[in-house]
Amino acid sequence: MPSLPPEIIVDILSRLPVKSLCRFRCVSKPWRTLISDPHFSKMHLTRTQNHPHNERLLLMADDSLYTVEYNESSSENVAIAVELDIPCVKSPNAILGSCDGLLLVAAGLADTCFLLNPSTRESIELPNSPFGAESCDNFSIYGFGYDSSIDDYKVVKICFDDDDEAVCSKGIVSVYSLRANSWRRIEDSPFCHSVNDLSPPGVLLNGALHWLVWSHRGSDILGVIACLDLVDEKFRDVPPPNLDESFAQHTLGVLGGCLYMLVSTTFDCDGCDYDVFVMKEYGVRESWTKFTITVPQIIAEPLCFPKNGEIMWKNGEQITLYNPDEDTSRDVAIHGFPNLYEAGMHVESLVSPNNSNGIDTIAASQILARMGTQPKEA
Amino acid sequence: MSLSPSTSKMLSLKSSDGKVLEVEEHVAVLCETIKSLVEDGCADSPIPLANVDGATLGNVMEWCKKHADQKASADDLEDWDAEFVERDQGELYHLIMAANYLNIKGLLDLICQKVADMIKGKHPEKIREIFNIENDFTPEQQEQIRKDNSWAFE
Repeated sequence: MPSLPPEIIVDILSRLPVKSLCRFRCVSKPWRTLISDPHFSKMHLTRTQNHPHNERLLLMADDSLYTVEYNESSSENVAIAVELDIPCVKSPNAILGSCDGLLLVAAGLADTCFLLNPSTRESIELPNSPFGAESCDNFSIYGFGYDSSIDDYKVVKICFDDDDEAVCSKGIVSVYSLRANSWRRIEDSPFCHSVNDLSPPGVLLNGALHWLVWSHRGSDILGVIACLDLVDEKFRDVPPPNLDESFAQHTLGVLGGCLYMLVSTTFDCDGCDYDVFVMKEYGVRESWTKFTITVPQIIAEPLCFPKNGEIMWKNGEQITLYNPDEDTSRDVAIHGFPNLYEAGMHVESLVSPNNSNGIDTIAASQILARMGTQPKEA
Repeated sequence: MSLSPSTSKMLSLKSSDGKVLEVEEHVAVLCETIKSLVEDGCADSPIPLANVDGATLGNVMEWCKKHADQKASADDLEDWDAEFVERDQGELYHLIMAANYLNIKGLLDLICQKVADMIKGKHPEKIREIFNIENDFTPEQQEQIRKDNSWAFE
């Protein structure tokens, strides 16, 4: 293929898996520059996001991270887990967020936070937030997402005092900007985030993070869904479905692009029933629709929610994928993995946790224009 | 009588090696480049396509004809496309250049994806050979990048 135009080379490369691209950094200097360029990462990401089946499963157990070659169309129902060797991230213990191929992970005894890209093996350690550190003895909740208005990734940390259970203290909120590599304090959260012991991280949808929280309305305390918009950094609330009981043990997630809530209803030896509430139209209370699913094993608990609309359940040594549209489920055995603990989904991307320090980068087309001038004499 | 595809006006296209191809207008206008000429009323005489040889032009028009066919289903087109791209590198190269020149997005996407599938997982050495690229790294630089990305070579 002698002398293809640069824009065509860029087009072809933007269709490749990340592993091939990391390999092709060795091809030549212009190729290395292109593949590390943030504009090219964006182009590659956009293409990947248009194909939901490009989503990968990430598992965490025994202080290690595993990436799973999980092929939804595979009839074999066996997946291979490969341990990720990311030298800087020692003893990861929680997945706190996933956005554009970057993961927010807590690691070590001190719960240091890392941003890592499992596809490129790049990672950075985040500085500790200086805000609210003294008063919040490890009671903190995180969230991670992207602010499209300034092309920046943001980590949100909400610290709250949980000493006295009768008093619901307000959260001190700080935001870490990947571009600035520093934390800023924003307005305190008007909600009570001390909902349950698990402190699940924020659920990212429509450029905002969502948590299940309590809200004080006069003398009443109501369960609501808190929403922090990553662009204006203001808290709002999203109306929850009408539920009879407290929703402390419920799970919030995203199913097929909609916010949803999973509510366990009955447990018995045959399995457990869950009510699934899906908010068909974002922000519209009347749009919550409910359906019920039964998961066979009592030990099952929801793990994560691939974009293809399936719900993934932890089920002993294997995972069970439930398809709510077809009301079918299938088990996937995972080889090479010690014991299921926590899981998250991520897309493959080149987005680097390292390259957002405000350095002006050259546009991909310019790099490639240079590439075009360098073909070898035939 | 309404204009059906079978009574569509014919256009003549002249390739770089002087071959003239008669193509129905509704097929040829899948090429944005030709469509603009038709819209500007400049498509009367044989349209000279100086960057496309006769064999490649034939292949391109075969693709356009299939994709202009209203009766073809999406599945049918997908199968047909998969077979269409089963070609050697030389032919794929000429098809990319022609699709780019004639501005046929669908065909360009198809061939770019085919080339991407072809080079996926290959060694850098092979990539340089395919794209005719000079290795401008020193052996030391080469070694370092290879080390930094060692997992990608497993």
